[in-house]
Amino acid sequence: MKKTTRILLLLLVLVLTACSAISAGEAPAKESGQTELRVFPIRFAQHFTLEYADGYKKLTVTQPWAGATEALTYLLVPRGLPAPADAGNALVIETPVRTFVSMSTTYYPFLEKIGKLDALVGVDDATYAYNPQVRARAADGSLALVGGGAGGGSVNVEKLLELNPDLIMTSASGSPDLDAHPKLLEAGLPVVINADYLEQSPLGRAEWGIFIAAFFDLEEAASQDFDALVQRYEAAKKLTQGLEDKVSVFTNTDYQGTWYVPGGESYAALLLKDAGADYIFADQPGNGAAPLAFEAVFDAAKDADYWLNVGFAADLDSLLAMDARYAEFKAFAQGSVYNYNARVTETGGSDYFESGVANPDVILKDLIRIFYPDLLPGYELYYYQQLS
Amino acid sequence: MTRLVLSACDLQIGFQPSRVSRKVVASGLNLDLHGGEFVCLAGPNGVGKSTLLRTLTRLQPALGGEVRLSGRPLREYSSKELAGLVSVVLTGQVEVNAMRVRELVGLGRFPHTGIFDSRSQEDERAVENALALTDVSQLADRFVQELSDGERQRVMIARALAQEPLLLVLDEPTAFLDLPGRISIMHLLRDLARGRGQAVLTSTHDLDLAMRSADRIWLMNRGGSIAQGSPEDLVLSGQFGHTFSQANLRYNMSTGQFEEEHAGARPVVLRAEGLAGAWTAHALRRAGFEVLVEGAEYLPLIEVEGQGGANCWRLTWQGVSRELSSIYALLSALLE
Amino acid sequence: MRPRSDLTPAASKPLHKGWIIALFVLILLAAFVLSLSLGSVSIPMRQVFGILSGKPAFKESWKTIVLDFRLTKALTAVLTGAALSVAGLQMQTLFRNPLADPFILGINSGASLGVALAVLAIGTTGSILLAGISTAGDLGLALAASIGAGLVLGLILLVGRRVKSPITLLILGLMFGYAASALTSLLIYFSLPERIQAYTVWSYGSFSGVTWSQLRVMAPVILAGLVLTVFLPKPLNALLLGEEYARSMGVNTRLTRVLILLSASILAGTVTAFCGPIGFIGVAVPHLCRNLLRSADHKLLLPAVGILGAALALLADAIAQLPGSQYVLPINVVTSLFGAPFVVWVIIQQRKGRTSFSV
Repeated sequence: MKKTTRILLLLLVLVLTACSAISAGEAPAKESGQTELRVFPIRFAQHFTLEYADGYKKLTVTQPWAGATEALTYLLVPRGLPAPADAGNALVIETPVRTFVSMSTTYYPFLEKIGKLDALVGVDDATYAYNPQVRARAADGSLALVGGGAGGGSVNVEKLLELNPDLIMTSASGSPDLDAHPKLLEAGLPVVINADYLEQSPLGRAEWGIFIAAFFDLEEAASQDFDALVQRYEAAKKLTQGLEDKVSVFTNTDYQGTWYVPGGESYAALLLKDAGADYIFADQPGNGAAPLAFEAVFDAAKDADYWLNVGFAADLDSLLAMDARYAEFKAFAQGSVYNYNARVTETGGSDYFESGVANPDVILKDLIRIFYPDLLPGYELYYYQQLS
Repeated sequence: MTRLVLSACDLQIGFQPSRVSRKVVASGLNLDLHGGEFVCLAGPNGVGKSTLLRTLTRLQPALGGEVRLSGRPLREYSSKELAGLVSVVLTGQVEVNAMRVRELVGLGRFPHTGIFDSRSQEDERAVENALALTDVSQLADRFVQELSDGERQRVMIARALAQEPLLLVLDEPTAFLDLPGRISIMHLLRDLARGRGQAVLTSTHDLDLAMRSADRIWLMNRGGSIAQGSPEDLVLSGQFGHTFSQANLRYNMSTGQFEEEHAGARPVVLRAEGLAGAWTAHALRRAGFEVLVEGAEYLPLIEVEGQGGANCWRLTWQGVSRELSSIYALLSALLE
Repeated sequence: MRPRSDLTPAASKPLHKGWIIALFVLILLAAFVLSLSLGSVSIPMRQVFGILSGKPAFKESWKTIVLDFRLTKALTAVLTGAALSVAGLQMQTLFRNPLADPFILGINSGASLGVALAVLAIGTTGSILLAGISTAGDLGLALAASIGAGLVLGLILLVGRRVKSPITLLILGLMFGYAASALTSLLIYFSLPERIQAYTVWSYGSFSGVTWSQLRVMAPVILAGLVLTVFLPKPLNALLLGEEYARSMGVNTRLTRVLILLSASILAGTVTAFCGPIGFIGVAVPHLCRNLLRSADHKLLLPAVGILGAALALLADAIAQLPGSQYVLPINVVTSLFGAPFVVWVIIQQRKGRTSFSV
């Protein structure tokens, strides 16, 4: 049902674009500032929109960072065509993009899905990358390391100017001393802000693949891919609906007496909910992490069935070594402790944080497999592993 | 009274900050100090008085020679033994808050109490004694920071006395005091020596007071040597003048004053007697004149006449004779 | 020139110090009870006492909370408060500086550097170093901090024996501290945000992170540091007049300096190693005690600051636990927010009586 509507819409858009192209020379019927926009359907992501206008695409990031008051607009104009007259503050990017610099590991999987991983010419830092191709290319020098990301110090503007990529994609925090993009924009480089981390819904985050694909004129393919992903996700989710006996789960660890607990609206909590588990702290407001007293967490979660996402711990012994009181949790005593570090590199790269964003269905299936193994017999955990 | 408390033989004092650099301040010093003696160490600024005192109290090491305390070489004493024999009052004010006078004076008992500073009857008695000697008993319960400068110095001296030392050494104890304060401290020290048989050694800038109170003076001069003797001996032998004289400063042996020498002092003739005359001469010299008793006709002539209690000055000069009612007026007239 | 003293008002009679110390002890006991009774989870006080005396609790989880969470926290606070206050008093007297705190010689920065190295500079779960620290267990972080603090301490002691003036020592200590901080900043600059957060949380300070097995190490060390101070009241009193007067009274200033440095560094370093850097207590409590006792006598002050420091640490922790709510504040926020105005108030009150107390 959804697929046919989409195809119809797309046909409509194509027809209209063709019509306007025919009537282009006819009349100055358009008043300045009035352009016909066709909206590309975005279903789950809340922080970007994609619209089609005559001769170009308009990508709007409605909230580039937490607390941002203004949206950022990007006009994607096919190479060779002139930019629209009423561009205003929007940044014009020539499409399709041929070379790409990425300042976050979460973009690699999306690039890979549309087959454009080799368009990558530079990354901020390869230490925390998981993708083997990226690491290999960084090691042999065919990938430039430009800094400016989360862990790489300040950005090397000169190197970027030399690279002269068609697009640099980064996330931003809104504070000028931490962000790399102001400097890059000043230097005239094409920088685009990706706000995928602001999305709390797992599918919403994954939908940003379309955002990236738009720059390569591959949003259609990405959208189809996404549809398939949504189907897989929903199918998995359906398995756990209507369950009578839900398992209870809590996450994270204590740190020096403070336990940062994700809120009920957060990405982690939503995944747990979709997996049919009863998240102990589902009633914590918001999507941030609340600093709770160890004592309070203990009181609430001591009888929970499962304990997930335990930081850097690789086995139960080292977890216990961090604090002897963890033994008091039923989940620990039963050995029902799971961590998302099944796929990590020696240098600290974690695939959960890299391709996990693009594959929420896999994460969901991991979770369902953990909580209700009978629902997914034969499925093997991908991102998660049980601590022993 | 004649017991030898401190003696120095061929003493060399100075600084040796590292193995290679060495600064000698004075050498070849032979000194002695007896019980019941009040000795003042005097000398121009920077000549090394503090260095000497610090060396004698082992606050810094000697560069050469020997110091003996009560017959035994200074270096052989342990810290504690030495503390029981020598106590000091150093220059500068000590900022101590939240301490009462009795407590501060009580600190002086440290060499005599054990590791946990437990006080005995004897300790209490020594403290009370020290308070009484320095006349601060009535301040015993007050906080030190509330006292005046003079009272504070007395308290510091009381502390040093509570230590019941053989020798009391002070470095510029009167530096921050006003004139009455200085006088009272010097008298206190003199009484301690004379009345109580305490050996007292102090350095001072106050030559006048030193001359008046000290039994002996150690006169330290810029060459790094010390002349010992009673104040008057040092004056008469000319050493006093020699030590302190500078370019245009001369020590007047009869007045005991330092006087400036002016090359171009204008001569005036003064005929006067008594108190008024003496002070008029004082004023004239201060203003830079040379005072003569007899002189040429053309020189200004000043006559002082006392008329029923009020004085009157007559200035005869260049044929004009005037009467002036004050020294100030006289000087103004002369300097016109 | 000060006015003659017969113009100033008559001296106040020395208060009976014994009563004030007794009051401190009472406050300490009350604070201890309070700390055990208050927390995110509401447990009736009768239950708390019951649990402490070995009776079974109404809820099993309450027993765990009281014994494994609150009791350890309270004991840690007591040890920390006492340790920091005593160390702070020693530093203030040694350097004759009313603003000196226990960390003035850069011990804190050394400990922070140790922790920063452990948390920030290592790789992931697979890396050997972290595994090593994990197996060293909950002592791992403390170990890292102690090594860092120990290095700085070693430097200080090495230099402290030769340096003449305490001021020089102070400046050198400050410089070591800055150097360590700079290295820490460098590490932070090149680190992942999650790791930085971990380090940042450590730097907030906390009593709740200490478990019984950690206490088994922390308590004897701190007690040892405190015991060292038993021999210090006399030389500390002498030092109030300055090192030269102290020497002239027979005090072995060199030995005293070493003892003070050793004791203060063990106390401050251990606290930092197990609880993170805890500010303000070390500076404020000596001043409070001097004001309340109106004395500078260390025979009185040393025990007094220990007791009062412990009590205040307990109170600060009780506030930080935001009793009744699930949330918890960093200790440093509480000690500064509440502590600073309080001390200002005390000093102003004293000023009205026309006696001012700094060191």
